[in-house]
Amino acid sequence: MQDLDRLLREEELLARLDWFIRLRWVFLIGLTLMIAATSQLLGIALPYPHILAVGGIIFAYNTGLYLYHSFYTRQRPPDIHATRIEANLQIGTDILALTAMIHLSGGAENPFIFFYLFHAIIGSILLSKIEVWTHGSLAYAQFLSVLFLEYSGILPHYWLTPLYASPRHQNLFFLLGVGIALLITLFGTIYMSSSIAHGLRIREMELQLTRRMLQKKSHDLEEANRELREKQAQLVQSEKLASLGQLSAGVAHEINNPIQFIQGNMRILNESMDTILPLLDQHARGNPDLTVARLKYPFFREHIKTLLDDMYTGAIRIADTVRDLKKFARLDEGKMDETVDVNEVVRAGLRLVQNKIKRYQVIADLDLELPTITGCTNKVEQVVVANLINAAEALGERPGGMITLSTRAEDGGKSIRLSVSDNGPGMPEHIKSRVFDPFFTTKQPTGGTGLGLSVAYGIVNEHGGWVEVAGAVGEGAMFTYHFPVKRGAG
Amino acid sequence: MKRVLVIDDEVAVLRHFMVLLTQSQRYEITVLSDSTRALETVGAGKFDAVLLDMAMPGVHGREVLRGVREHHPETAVIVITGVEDSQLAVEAMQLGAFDYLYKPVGEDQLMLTLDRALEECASGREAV
Repeated sequence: MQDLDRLLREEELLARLDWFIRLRWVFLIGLTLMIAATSQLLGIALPYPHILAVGGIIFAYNTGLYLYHSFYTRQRPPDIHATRIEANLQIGTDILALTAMIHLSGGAENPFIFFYLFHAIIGSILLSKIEVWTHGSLAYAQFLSVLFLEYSGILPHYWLTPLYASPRHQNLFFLLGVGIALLITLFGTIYMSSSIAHGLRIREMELQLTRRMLQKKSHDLEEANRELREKQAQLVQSEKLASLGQLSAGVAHEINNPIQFIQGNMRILNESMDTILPLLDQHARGNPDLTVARLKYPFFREHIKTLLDDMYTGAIRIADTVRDLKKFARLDEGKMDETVDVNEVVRAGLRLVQNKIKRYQVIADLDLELPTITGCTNKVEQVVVANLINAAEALGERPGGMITLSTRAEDGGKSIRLSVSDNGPGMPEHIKSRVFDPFFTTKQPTGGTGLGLSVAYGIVNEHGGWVEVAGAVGEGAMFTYHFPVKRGAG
Repeated sequence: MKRVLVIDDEVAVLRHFMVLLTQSQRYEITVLSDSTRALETVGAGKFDAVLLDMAMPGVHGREVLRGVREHHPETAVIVITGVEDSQLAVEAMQLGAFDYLYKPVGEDQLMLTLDRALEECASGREAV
């Protein structure tokens, strides 16, 4: 609260320093008019050269300050410490100049002794309590000193002839009256204006606090909104996978049966060609115009084996896709209540795909204190394998390819995280947002089915976990899977 | 004999089309699996029709189609693709494809479309 009070005051001070200078110009104009009025109209005999000298000094330092602020401080960041010192110096100098003016124009007889109040008010608004009370006391002490010095004759007294019939600088009652009047008004003003300024600042402070609170609230809300959108996107993804899962369960079953006999019969047909073709060859030698299936025999002979091979490979590809689909659709429902040691699963996964990853540097950074989770060992292994294959495919022929697997306990042992990263080409945003989409693949020609990562996604969901993908183009990629130790706890 | 070029990135598909079209004994077939050489091949071969796949690595079928229509407008292009994407189909037709067929295409449908394309292209040439 104290700090904020100071902060607000200092802000005000920084903004008001120019304002001091402008006020002083106004004062100087007023002084000039005053001198003209007193000397010409009222005919008061005052030491005008002295007064003009003091006015000249004020004019000189105000000009200096004006130039300093116009050309020097404007290009600099505001320095509050320097500003405060300057403000104190300015007010101190002004009080000194005012005291000199008062002395030169009648001392206690001068009705303008209440000019001190201006300084009191400005000081109360812009300076700290100690500073303003110090300035007030110094001003009052200066004034008393002038009275004393004039009273004792050490300084001359300039008598305001037309206002007073006789000089009053040695009239103790008059001096006492003026002294007490100034004492009360000066310190009363300091007290009142500083407490009003303080009250206003507190109100402003409260406003600022409220504003900050509102800002924080709205920031929190934005954050919450963003999280909500993310969660919603995840939900949509799970929903998409779930419906596709149901659909593919049926499709997989329908395809699996015919694929069984297509694949099997193809093998028989292929094998039978070994017998049939030599017989046909023999026959063709006696019949040069022989055609088979509307094809001239040499053409047929040249291509038939390849055609059959193509079919066989094609059938295997269909079978592979169906197998992946089945996994995806969780037709092979695994038991979900096993105790799974993810470190062990990682080691097994590495052994399984050893052939695919042996050309890369593989780092397994395993947390040996990793808690076990509850779930299905085979399925978690699928997650590891799918990611290793994905990493290997991302790395391709890259020299210096590196795959890092790491496991860590997190959330105070309530969950674990498994991450697989590679230093491959990374992914642009539009690919990153689709990596878990079923059938989304960037390696169509090499025969990726586009199901590996979506299967992994489904498995992690099934374990009550969640997934993170990181890495932009040129930064490699990192897939992180979080599994709760106990399902339903996460 | 009408000269027909088949462009597809998958060799087994190419072989299948080649044998299928050879059966009819009416066309002279050339196949190409490398789409980056598509335009050059079309330019060298004076083909009457091209059967073109869309989703190919290297140069996308869309670009091949655009290039063929621009440089060899006398060659009819039939798009045969596994991608059931109506937007892409509309785009292909706008680019001047004769027709847009989805795999798997039956033999009858393929022959019918190809013959219509060849006929139209022949009458177009006479008109010119």
